Amino acid sequence: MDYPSDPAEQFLAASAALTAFEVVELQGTGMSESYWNLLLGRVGSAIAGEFLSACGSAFAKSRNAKELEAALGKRVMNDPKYGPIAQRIITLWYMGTWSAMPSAWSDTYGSCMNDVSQVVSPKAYREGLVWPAFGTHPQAAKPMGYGSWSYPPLVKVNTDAEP
Amino acid sequence: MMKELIPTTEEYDAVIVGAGASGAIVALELARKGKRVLVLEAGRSIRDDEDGWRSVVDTFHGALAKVPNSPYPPTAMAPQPDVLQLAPIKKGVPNSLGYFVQKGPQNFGSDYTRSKGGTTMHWLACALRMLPNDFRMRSMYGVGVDWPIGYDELRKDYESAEREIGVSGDVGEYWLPGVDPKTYWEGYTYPMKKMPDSYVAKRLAARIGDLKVDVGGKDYKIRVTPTPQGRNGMPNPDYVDPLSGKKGDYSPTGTQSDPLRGERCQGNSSCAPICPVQAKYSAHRTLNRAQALKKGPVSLVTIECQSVATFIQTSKDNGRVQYIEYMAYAQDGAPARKKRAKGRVYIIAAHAVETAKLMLLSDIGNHSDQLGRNLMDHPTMLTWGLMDEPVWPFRGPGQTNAIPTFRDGPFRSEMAAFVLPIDNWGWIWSAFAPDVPFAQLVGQGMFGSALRQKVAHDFSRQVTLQFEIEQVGEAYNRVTIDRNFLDPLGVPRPIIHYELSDYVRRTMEAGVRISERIFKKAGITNKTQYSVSDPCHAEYNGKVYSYKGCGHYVGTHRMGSNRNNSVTDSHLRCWDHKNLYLVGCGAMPTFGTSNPSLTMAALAFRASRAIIKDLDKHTSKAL
Amino acid sequence: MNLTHKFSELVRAIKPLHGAKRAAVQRKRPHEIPDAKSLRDHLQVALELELSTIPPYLTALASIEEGTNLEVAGLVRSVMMEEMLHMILAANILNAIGGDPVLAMKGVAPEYPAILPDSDGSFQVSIQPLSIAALQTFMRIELPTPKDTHAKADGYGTIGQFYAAIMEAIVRLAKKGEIRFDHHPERQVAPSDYYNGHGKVVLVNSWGSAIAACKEIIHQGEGNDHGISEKGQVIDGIGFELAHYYRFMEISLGRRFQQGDTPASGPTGAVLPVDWTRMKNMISNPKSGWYTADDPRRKVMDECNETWWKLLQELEKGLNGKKESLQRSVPYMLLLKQRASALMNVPSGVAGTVLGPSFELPDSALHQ
Repeated sequence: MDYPSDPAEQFLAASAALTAFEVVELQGTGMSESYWNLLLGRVGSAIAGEFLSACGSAFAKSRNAKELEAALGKRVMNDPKYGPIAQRIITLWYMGTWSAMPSAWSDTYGSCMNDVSQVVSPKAYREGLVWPAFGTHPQAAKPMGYGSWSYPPLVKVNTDAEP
Repeated sequence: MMKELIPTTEEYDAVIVGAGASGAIVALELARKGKRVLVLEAGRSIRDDEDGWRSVVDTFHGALAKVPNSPYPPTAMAPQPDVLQLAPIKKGVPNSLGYFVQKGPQNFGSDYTRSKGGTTMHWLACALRMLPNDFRMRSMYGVGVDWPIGYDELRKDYESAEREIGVSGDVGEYWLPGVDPKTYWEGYTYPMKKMPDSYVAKRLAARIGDLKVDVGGKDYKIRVTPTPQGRNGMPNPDYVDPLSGKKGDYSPTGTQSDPLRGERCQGNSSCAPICPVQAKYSAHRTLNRAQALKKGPVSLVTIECQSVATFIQTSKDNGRVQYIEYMAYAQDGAPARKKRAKGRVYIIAAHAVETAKLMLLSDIGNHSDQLGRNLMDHPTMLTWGLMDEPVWPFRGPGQTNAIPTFRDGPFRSEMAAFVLPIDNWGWIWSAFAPDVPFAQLVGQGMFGSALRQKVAHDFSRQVTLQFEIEQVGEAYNRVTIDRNFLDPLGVPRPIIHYELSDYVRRTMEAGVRISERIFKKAGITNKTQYSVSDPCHAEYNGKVYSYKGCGHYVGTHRMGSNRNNSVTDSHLRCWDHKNLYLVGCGAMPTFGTSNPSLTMAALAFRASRAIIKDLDKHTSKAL
Repeated sequence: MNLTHKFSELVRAIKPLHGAKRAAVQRKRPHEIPDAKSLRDHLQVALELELSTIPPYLTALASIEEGTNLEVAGLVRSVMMEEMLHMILAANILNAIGGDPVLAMKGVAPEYPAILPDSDGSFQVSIQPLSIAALQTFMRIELPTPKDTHAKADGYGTIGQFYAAIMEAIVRLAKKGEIRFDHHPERQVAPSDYYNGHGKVVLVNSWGSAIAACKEIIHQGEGNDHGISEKGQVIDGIGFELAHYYRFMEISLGRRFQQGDTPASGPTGAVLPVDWTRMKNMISNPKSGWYTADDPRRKVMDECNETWWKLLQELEKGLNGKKESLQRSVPYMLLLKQRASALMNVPSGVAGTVLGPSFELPDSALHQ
């Protein structure tokens, strides 16, 4: 599958595959740049670059989305170096939160001083994708209107598939 | 010895300690009669205009653990309890990590807010009246105590409270056990129509159907009814304003910055801890109304924040309060300044714990030995699961509907009553959703479409029931002080002694059984887990039950029929000190299964009448 | 440039373009309203007029980066909410005299850039981010009507002229017994039906209440009296009591009005901080058709348009007696704003700009 050449775009493409949201939806949060810079700061640009390359190899080996997920599982999620990074990227997009790297990872690769668990910013919280993923909105932001809670949400969400 | 020169205020008609709902209502009522009032508030003066409120909302958005006090961090000098400070109590070693010193044996699981607006900043705004039997627990069921007054004597004050708070509700749909709607309501309607029922509550009610559950040998029908709440909805054209006598012209109060915003709830699904459009009542509304009342160009009500009352000075001759000593502090590290506030009458409305603490510090008002005792909460046992259909939680006010079936019944002589709200926010309270369940899924290695599908499937089906259990006053549940434990201003911190009685634990046991019946009928797979490692848990018949604090601090300066059994009379006037009133939830001898704020507000109206009478009776300075 | 100078520049800029070449006028109506049918047509146009202001105002609001320019956002939001109210007021009059409000139809909801319905075509309204240029258009929309101007044969120069013609007709036709105000009382939107801040709904059941509804619209929009050139009557009220025209003027000049200010003085109150760097660099009048069907940008623009379409449908049902639809339109309105905001984070592909809402209706939304 196609993988962009620009690192920031690679970050978006990899994020889309890891979160199962489309690139345009990730862009729509307005957080792309901030999360990409955050990743560079939290794990360092060298490791971030390696991570993107690992994702790139999964893209290169795959012909469709299903194969891509399988390849990402093997080459990224299950990798002791890249797996924890991928989990944190997923959490960034879904929750707007950075979780500090696990201690086993830090023991091996070291710890950047800003690697602490935190909500990235109030805006990051508001743009968390976990909320629309199950038909709601972030608490205390993007309200759905008086009485909306009395009916199923306006935007349809498929809840039938239980993986 | 050199006489210490302590700045003293001019003499106000009334000095109020605490800018929460009680203090605000008393200030408003007094100012309406032209009285001059000084309000001392320990915490900060949170701004409620556009920019100020935005900063509060942002603080909440940016908080990693989103708990009731997240938007309202305390100042360094006026700390407050926080649910994040809870930790298991080992025998003999109190948990003193936070503001409280928790002696146990169990944790008091609640927090409160020390800032302008008090705990109404983060309250959920459920506005339940008490039931008539809640006022006569001793005569009806042989437990607790009777109030010196009954429901009928408080009904008009409830109406005033519902007007001031702005309550949405539907009398017609609001079934209550053992209550005759005719005499309970006397033709009343709420200022605004009920909040629309939540989808989860509608589905649950439909699935529960006509389920009956046996308690104490009697069958009870499980009913789902709307919960009255202090949140702006649609004005009710049938509502008659008790102040103006006019029908159908009720106007909700919007935001401070734009009065036409926040006139109606928008469904921000975050009432506790913060309503971004201020459609939820907070005491700021009442304080703003009070401060708008002026004599000439000068407001009748002065509010001094960051001013911690530390001592109530009384006269040796007649017991009357002479002044209140307080510490005014800045956030810039400058030393706090000791000051004195003078009034003709003094009202302590500082919260059940803080009021008791201040009285104990001053060593006054405790002829009855009830001061600080009878501390109660609604220990809330949660049960949670996944329904077999999506119920779309995390939308709308935290609670729109509840099961009131067990708020009263003959079983109350053996076990505590409870109200059973349906949580509209999934597992937020029971399992810290969505944060913790999401972290678990990612921790299991889920990603991509499987993760997204799992989130959609599971999170849309989350259901939590809240068993809010009545407590009655026990002498051993109490607030004390110990000068070995001081806060940064050097003021003793509250010591909390707390233990759940078997009266409560029996209900926990019954509650789990009732929950199982409801879950089975409604198609809910139980996911409840209780553990001895939960900071708040109790054992009964060999089983563990976990509970949460409900934020309902009650009973520490209860009213009563005479000075031997209580701290104040039914007008909240201190038996021992005639110009001292103790106003707040602490005044309530029992509180059944109603969230106490509405009753507290009603009592504030009642007390205000007595205070005004006192002030008017003695127009001379010496009250 | 000092403020006085800026103020007079601004006032000149938004004055009607007398003698200037006018854009093609979309509709032509006689300046007098001869009969009940014509009045109903005019009120339908009034509805369209109010409706056509909502997309540009909503876009301007969404273009303000969240959490910045709070005061400015509050002013724009207040105007938008009042336009919703005006639409409902117009519908109440139309319903009372026996009309059927139409909203969810291609051609009724305008395509942008648009000439305002029934205007004299002297300016165009675009979908664009908040800017000085956008504000000048907004002020032109809300321009107070100079005294002694009459409705023109080729459309109306201001909204005030337009409503003046309607009010004149209401009184005249009611006196002659040609219109009654007792049609479809069940369709009247009452304060308890529409309740989302900013002004109160007027129930229309008489010519008096119909006039009151018109006056509410004009008062909120232009202010309660006439022209900038008049010898300086005091501006009525401040903050959200201020007419739309003057609220937009406050943003343009970065200064608030204060008590005692007049149309001639302009605002002389506190500085209104406006951070123009925090407005989204949205491309003007975007179109979904710029992108091919497999372009993800097409998908998100279509979703936004779908929401606009749903909103119009619910509103139309709500104004034709289905009250619950009125309540259900609010969630669509909020969703529309959120989707518009999300679009403004997506690169358009043109010169560093971002996408925005296009307010296009599907081809199925044709005239009946």
